[in-house]
Amino acid sequence: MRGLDWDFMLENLLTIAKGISYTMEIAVVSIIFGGVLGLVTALARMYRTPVLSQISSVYIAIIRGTPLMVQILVVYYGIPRFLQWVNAEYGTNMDINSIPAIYFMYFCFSLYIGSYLSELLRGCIASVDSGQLEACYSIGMTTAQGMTRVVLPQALVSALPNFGNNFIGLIKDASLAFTVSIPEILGQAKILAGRTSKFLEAYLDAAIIYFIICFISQQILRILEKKSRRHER
Amino acid sequence: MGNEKPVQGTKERNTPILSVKNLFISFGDLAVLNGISMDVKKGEVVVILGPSGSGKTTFLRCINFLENASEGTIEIDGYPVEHQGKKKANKKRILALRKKTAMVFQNYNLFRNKTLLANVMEGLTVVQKVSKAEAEKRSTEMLERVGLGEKLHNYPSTISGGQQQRASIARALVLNPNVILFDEPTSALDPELVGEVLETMKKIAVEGITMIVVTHEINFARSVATRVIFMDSGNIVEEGTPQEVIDNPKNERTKQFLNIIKEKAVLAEK
Repeated sequence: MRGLDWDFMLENLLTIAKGISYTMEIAVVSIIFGGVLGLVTALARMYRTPVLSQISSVYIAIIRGTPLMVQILVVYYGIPRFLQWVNAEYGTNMDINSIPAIYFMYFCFSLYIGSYLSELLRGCIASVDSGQLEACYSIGMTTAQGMTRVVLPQALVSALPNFGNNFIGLIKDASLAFTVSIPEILGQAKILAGRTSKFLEAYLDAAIIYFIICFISQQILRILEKKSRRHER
Repeated sequence: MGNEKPVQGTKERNTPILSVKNLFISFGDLAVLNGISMDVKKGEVVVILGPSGSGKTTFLRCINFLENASEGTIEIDGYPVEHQGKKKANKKRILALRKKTAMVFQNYNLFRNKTLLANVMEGLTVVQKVSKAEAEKRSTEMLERVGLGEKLHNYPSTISGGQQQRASIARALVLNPNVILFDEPTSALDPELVGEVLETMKKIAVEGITMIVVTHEINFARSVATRVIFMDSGNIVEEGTPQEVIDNPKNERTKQFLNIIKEKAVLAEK
């Protein structure tokens, strides 16, 4: 393309790549905590656990009914305010300013992805043939044993492709963290663009980096999927 | 509470190992079991025949509480547990009772995420707390006994239905239960695979394992059963030796049903 500063793009690719660690940290931490959260809420709703299942339903409704962008802003400005209130109310002495902003993002993205994984896991657990759990019962296993040893391993295998899609989505969604000044990939691009006024070049660099890490992640997930499906021929 | 095991030898030989008393269950308005009672002695092979919808599978599933009846008591090896409908108050007792039984399902229900060896070991290690080495040894032997010694490390999806069903028989047998419940074990199989499963069942019947079998295999019933029960609309209509029930049925309903089944069997042999 005419007028595009290729040299600039090449020189600064690594500058922007510095944001990868933030992006991946947000994605990995959130998929882990979100996965646990999703599993607990899915089970709570499937077994209609009193209180917990109602809380889960409300939580999922709220997260799915509001934009991620809004959730990020609410968490970013809301948590410090909440901690201030706790400090005042209970005489605790938490140093709110010393909490790194990225922690808020872990919290926010975990809640966000957890609600989607909850729906996903619920579907996958329900799709495991009921005869599997009956077979567990028939040899004297408890529900908990049957779930952890037979049903969940099968449900997780069928959930894995969608889990992967959610993870890739998370990598891209993490770009929204730049709004609360997390220097992830897009954040780095913005800083560079602001400093040099080469907007298009900086954002193209960001696009290239996003593409590369998403592509690599997809390949890794594909291998994982293949391995986990070994028992299905 | 019947928890203690009866001392060996003092027990009369005629004491039933399994005793079902007054089993009632209905799905909505439909009464599926109308107060069924039955005693099974150690080593007996009881075959339950009956048209579909007669409640035979439900009856079998009530024995190990996969189905909750509204009334009735199941007693196995001197350990009684009461059915209380949807209330699951006696969870612990149900669990204890289930450890005295094992079941072979129509659709095999082998654990799909485990190899055959792991399938058979599961109950030993997880439920009976047998050491891993011991469980592996016993499970391997058991799988060899049902002719699957070369498929130990196969996953269920890689073998035929007949092999899967034989593996599931091994999974039940290895636990050494007081009674094994067979729920139409050959109904989901291709015709040419039925034989190998029935052969395996015959073998273990001869060894004196107590079995309750729901099936349509009339020839199996005739040659293996010590007692045949005919069920219709939630009742035991007729019961006796295979000769009595299969060859000389007294009840009109039994005659009708057996005629249809026998015709099919004759056709199949041709």
